[in-house]
Amino acid sequence: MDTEWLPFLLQTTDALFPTGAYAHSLGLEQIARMGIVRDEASLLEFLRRQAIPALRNLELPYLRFAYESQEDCETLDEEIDAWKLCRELREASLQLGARRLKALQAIYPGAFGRHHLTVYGRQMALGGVPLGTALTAYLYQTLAGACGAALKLIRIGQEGCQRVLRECLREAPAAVRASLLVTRGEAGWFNPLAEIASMQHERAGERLFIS
Amino acid sequence: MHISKPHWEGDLLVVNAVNPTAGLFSGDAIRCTVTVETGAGLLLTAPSAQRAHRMPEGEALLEQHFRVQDGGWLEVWPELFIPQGGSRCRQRTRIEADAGGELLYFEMLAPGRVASGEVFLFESLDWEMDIFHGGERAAREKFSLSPGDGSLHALRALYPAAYYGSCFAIGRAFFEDETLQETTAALNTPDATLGCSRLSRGGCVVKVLARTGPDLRKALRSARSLFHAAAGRREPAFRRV
Repeated sequence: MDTEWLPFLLQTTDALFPTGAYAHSLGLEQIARMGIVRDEASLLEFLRRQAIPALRNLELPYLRFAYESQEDCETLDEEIDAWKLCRELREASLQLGARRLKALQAIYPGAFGRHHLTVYGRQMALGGVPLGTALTAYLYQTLAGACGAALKLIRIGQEGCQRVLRECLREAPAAVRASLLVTRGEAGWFNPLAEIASMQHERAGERLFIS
Repeated sequence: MHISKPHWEGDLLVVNAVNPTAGLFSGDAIRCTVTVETGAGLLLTAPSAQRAHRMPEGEALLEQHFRVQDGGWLEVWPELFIPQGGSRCRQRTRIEADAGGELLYFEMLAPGRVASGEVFLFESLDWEMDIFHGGERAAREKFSLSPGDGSLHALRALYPAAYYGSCFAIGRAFFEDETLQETTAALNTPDATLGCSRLSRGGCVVKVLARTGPDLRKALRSARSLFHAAAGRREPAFRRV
């Protein structure tokens, strides 16, 4: 089995790779403040019923579009600018993208993109990582990031986080498969709660996370 | 569509437009194209809610295209959209504002005929909207809602029979005025949860989830007042009899 891409994947998705993702909750902090995520069970419900559907219908398809793109990703980045309505989420995506790009360029010249999704997608294509693996890695990192943030936001321990992650990951293969069927014109998801939470977090007087 | 006799407010025209039938049925298609030219002002509103009725098959289609030229002002306040049990609707909205054009675009969505106990029993809503400012895409929304596929979960997390509303405020004043986000945030109540944020270009957006229709309307009306003030405009009345 050809696994030449595996060291690249491990290096660029490891917590040691300096993207600064640990500083972002991507809306979870305010969702927790609203009382919607407050314990292990509600975290699991939030990730399964809100985060995974958004990944399946919007983020993973855009990652795929970047992965498969034969040109620069400027048009994709402009579309992501437009559907990330909240400034905080948009700027988080740009900040993560910039940091990932900077780290990548230090070791693999030729990477490009502005938003995290496009940089990530191009990174995986350049590294020869199979598409399904790239999508699964992004989904895993998103969910793991939320669980990591939850450790600081709600009463949940390391084992609780691992249980939540394990349950969510049971749905990963189906979510990745479904995302492959989403066309550019169909990509989209409706989550006014996450948008409002992010808008409120933007103005919050006290916060642990940048987003 | 029935268009009322327009009323001149001194700086803009108030037009009430309404579907004169009992509502939307399968196979109905409403196409609306509005252009506001340089120096013109228009408030396009409706005297009542729009209903979509049960559709054993097929769907209803609403296509809207709004264009605001430099120096033009357009406000679209269409009242509540009520998708009744078994209805299927598709809405396509395209908004193009020149760099010097200004626009307030509101949407209000009810969960159904709540007073009759009908909450989120429609079949499907397929919404798509693109907003361009100065020729560049400023916002995009695309979603399909269907009670059976989990797509309503976030909508119902705060209020089980949530009413949803939004306002896209396009224009330089709305993009540059940072205080709008503070003042809009102050409109939050236990019965209406909302936020305001600046778009990547061209303006800002308000999103609201509310416990009841009146709660939604009150929040959006208050936001409307803030936006008119930010634009330095007098807030026009809807002029309904």
